[in-house]
Amino acid sequence: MSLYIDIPEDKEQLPSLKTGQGKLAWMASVDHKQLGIMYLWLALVFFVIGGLEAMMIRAQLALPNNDLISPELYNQIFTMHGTTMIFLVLMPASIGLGTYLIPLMIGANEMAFPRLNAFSFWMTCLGGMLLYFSFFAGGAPDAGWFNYAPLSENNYSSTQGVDYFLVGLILTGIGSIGAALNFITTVLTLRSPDIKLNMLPLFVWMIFVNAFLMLAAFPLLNAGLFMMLIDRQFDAHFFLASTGGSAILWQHFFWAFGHPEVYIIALPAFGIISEVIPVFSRKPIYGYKFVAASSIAIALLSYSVWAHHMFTVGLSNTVNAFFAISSMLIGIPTGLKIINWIGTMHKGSIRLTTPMLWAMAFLICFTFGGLTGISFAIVPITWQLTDTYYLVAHFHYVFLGGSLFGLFAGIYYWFPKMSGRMLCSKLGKWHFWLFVLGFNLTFFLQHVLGVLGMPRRIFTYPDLPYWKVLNMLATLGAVMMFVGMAIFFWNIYKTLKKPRTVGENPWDAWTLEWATPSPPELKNFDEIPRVHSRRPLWDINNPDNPDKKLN
Amino acid sequence: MNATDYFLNPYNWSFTGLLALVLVLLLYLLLLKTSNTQKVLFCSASLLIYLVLGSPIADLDNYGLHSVSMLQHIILLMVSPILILKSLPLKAIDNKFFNIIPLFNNPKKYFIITWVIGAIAMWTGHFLSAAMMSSKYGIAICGITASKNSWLAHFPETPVFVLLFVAGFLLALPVFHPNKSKRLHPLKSVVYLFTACVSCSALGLYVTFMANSASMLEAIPVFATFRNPVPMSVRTDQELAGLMMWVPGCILYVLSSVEIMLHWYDANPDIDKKQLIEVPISDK
Repeated sequence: MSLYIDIPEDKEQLPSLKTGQGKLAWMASVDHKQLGIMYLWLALVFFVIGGLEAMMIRAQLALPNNDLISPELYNQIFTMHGTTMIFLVLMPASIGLGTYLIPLMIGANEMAFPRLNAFSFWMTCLGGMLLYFSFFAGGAPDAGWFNYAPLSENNYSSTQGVDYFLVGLILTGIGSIGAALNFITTVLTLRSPDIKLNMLPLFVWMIFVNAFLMLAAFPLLNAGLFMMLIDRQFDAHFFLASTGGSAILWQHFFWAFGHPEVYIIALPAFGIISEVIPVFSRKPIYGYKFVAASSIAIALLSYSVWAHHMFTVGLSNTVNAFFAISSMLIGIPTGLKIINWIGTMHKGSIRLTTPMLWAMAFLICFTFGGLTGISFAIVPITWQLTDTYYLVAHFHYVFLGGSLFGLFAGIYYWFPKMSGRMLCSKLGKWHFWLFVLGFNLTFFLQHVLGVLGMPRRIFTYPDLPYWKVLNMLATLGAVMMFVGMAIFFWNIYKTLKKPRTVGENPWDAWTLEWATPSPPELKNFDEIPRVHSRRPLWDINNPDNPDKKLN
Repeated sequence: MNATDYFLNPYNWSFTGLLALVLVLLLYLLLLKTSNTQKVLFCSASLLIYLVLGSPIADLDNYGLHSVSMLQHIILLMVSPILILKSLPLKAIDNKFFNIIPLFNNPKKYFIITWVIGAIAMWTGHFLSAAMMSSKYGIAICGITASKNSWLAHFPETPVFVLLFVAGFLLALPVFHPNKSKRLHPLKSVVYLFTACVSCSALGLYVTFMANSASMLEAIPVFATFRNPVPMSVRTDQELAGLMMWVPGCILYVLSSVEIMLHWYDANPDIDKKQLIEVPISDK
């Protein structure tokens, strides 16, 4: 097989995997659409792996005193589950949607740095592969996704799992930084001349703000990861208190990254919701400027709240008090967005399509996760509940309810654009109901388990009152989610087998990506429509009733 | 003396300061034609300055409380200059007299200089006051220990306060100049404020976590006696100082950034350019 391939013409479709050199054409591609799709496939593959790990956790915890999995393997599984879902599912999926859509939404034909784009993807991919290679190299990391020192130091984690964790995440971190640089430069330099920055679609705006967050947060994590690698490989003492280092310093590094990371994962979902809700409510977004400006507030404030993850490490009351207040404050801009989304739906002509259902489930579950988050800003509550299943429930409501549901909304919404085919609505609704009901069954009950005192990170538990039944129900919920996901994959498989039938704009949406064929050809635009407002396609379709001109 | 007695004691309130406050307010109200919002902003700024320089809060400085000194710095350097700039009518600052000074006439051009002046004032103001306090009261603050015989013990505070206020005024000028056409572009303003926020956060972080080094001193009773009428250990005092600079300082800049962005989202640059030149802010 020749390693040289013809450069495809602009007017051609994306290469098919079935053609002779199709696979090579994809692997060697620097096209933003192909890379976006590859990011999404990468996220889906790791979602399957992370999901299976979750099922193993739930199978182990279904019954008290269970010994299906050994404690050692359980530690590895829950560490890998968390790390996979955050760094290899939610991050690549968000970046993938951004990579695919940003040039299309701003009237550009490519990202600013196409090769950097490919480099970022392959670094993420390589990081994930290294992380999982640890299973074949003596054991996966087992110190939790937060990898706290000194547990993660050589004295307590003697296998090479933690080293693979460190190197794997350094690589994915470099990939994320590359992607962030690319997003910022693309938005600043490659916009259609008509599009002023204050006219950006909200999804683009959120990814743009998010890119700054990533640029500031990931170097912090990578610095910490490098320092720990030096500790482990060269016997340094950055995080070893016994020899003059500080284990708490690791927590500062990790959470100075970790709290912004919550928003790095959530902001793209906010952007998706801000596109989906208006289209399916047939109304422009209510309070565009508040939704957009509150993202900046969230981004900036997210760096002033990380110590709330450390309320139990023994910081003083003064420090705790300040971080309690600032953590409550960050709820204001987030709450503002919720009000705006509800305001958009108010008196709208709502179409209950699958993306809209996911958007509505997002609103409810994310609000709930936000409220339990506020409860964690109250220091004594954290002291009581931080090491219980209440916290597990809280962050799953934030990460799944607040991010994954948004991503599902986005996938259902943009799938016709990416593939030229519409996902089956009936199967989509089965996926939705099974997953959302299963999710709430699993994680709502875990709040109760937490309040009852069930600690997290334990591989089994005694048969205490209500623990067995609640855990069994939680496992049943996980099974429902699993079935829901199986239906989702079946839906994708079945749909991709069908011929392309979708036109340019099947949802009657308003942003520029819907002005291109579905799927777009290699060159996105021959001619970019004139843009005078935040809803260019609305203006074109409704010349008598255009939006307010902004340029 | 407990805190209530201390704060209610009239001798701890500066009568001269109060008189100056009333005089300044009267002059502002009589001489300058401004909107009600601007009047409120100016009154707030003046009141805050009085509270940190003339009220019992200012006197707490004499008990060796570093957090009070930090509060003074925040108000003088970060809060009051913004409030005052927003309260001034166009002509008060955009006139022949002030326009001779390049930093006033074209702050957009010199924004790096104004930023550096602000950041230097933020940091040196802190270290200077920490050193002065250390020399006066013999406490180690942020790892700084100055001898009682040092010249710092006799260094007057007033010039420091004035310099801080001037530096704060310059720092705020490119973003809050009363003449909108002389301000930085809104997005540049946000970056300007964000980097200022990084500076104040870094200082706050430093002071907060340096407080651990003061924890040994908590064991020495004499340092607790300094802290009447607001009993506070050296460590708590220092953490409070750092956190005030870090968290509220950062929130101040975040709120300012959000306000700027909210106006910018609605703006039509072509139309606004004409308005900016023709319509002074005070007449709107």
